[in-house]
Amino acid sequence: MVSTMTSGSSDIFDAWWGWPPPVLDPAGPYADSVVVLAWALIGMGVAVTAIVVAAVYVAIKGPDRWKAKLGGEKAIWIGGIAFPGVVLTGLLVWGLTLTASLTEPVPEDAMRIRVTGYMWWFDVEYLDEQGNVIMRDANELHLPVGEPVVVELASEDVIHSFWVPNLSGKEDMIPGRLNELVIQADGAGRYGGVCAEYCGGQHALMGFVTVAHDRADWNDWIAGRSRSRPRVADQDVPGEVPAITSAVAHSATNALSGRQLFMDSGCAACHRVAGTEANGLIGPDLTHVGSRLTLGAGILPNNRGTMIGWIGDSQSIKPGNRMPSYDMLSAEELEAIAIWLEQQR
Amino acid sequence: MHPFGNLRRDGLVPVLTWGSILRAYLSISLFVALCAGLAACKQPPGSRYGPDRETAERGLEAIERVGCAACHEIPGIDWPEGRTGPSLVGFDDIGLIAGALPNTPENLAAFVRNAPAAKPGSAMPAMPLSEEEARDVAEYLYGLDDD
Repeated sequence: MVSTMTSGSSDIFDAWWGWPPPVLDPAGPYADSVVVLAWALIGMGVAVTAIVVAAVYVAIKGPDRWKAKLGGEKAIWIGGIAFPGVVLTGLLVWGLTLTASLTEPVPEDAMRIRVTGYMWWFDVEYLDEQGNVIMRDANELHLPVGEPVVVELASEDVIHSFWVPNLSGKEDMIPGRLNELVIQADGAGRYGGVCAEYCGGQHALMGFVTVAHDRADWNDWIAGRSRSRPRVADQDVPGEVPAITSAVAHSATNALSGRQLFMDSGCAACHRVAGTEANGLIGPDLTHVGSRLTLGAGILPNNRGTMIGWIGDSQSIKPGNRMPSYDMLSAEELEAIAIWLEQQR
Repeated sequence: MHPFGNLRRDGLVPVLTWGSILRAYLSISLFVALCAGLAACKQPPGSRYGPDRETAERGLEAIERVGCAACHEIPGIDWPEGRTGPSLVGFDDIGLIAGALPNTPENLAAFVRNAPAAKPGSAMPAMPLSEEEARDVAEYLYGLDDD
């Protein structure tokens, strides 16, 4: 019984938000043409392979008359020069026409989000028209449906690549450069994203989630993240983490202050929590960590249990990541910190 | 005769013929069938707890959805294998749940859903599971017949 269940992919990814993100399933205009081109290239590849296999078969088993033709000069002129010349030129022209829309200028007032790659997570900053940061988050992008969004791509260490296959092609995040990519989702929903450029040991565990909301929901969402804190999350907004139902709510009264433990244990040296003295900039911003869908850069569902597991021994989950395992904390302390972080929404 | 065909006179290059491939295939199949037969003989019928397969699969889905593996090594889940909590390998053979509760299906279902209530002081928090999902999870953990 177990053997059948263990076979195949049983990673946490599958259950959580569909890993790996489907690459041939466009959900917006900037992915449409990329996917059409991909299918055309796949089709061409199959056709050319079939022609080559047929030619090899003829060369080995075919009648002598065919063999002679295949080995003749005419075959080289037609099959080796004219055919690829015409087909590849046509494909190039068609491909450039098809993807021209990807580089068309977007409206001046299009929303801008700056995403910065780190080993191995994504820093996310929402910008206003002047380019000022209005909100800082991590490993999660929230977009309004049906609007082009300019993603400014940067990197703080090595080359990463930003890829939400449902919404666009890939674009590199290069240290010292600011690349721009336009994405757009035509339907509300969650779209998985990954780092698409090998960037070190935990490259494979460097992901994020893109959540597309209807415009009104998006406005509520961003407003909910700018108001004074703490606040209670609206359960109807897509992308919110469902709270633990009251039937299984935390039972023991917790005497320890998670906030104090967070500051005393050194968490604040790397993590920022707006409105507190925690102002570290090396690790993901935790100001809104309680409302995120995932932990550890798109790799774990976000609940009290996974939070405790991540803090307690993140090295067993994502070996080599920059956060040490806090295995010196007691059960009570881990729980207190996790509960406090849960409230940072 | 060499099992994979006639050896040439120089004795180095075995010649593959359809007959030799068929013979090799049949002998390998027989070997595999014998092994499978022997393995099947290991368990006397009825001596083991027989988990309901569908329930257990639902349990595995719930385990993945809430991310139990962030803290526990769980057979059937390749990654992650968290170490904040104990390994759940061979859970059907464990005496006490969390060193505290008799290992019964009822206790296990209650524990995975609301560990602090079942064992105060446990680092394991209440998990967002319904009662039914908790029973499914318990079923899966008991089905881990991995010895």
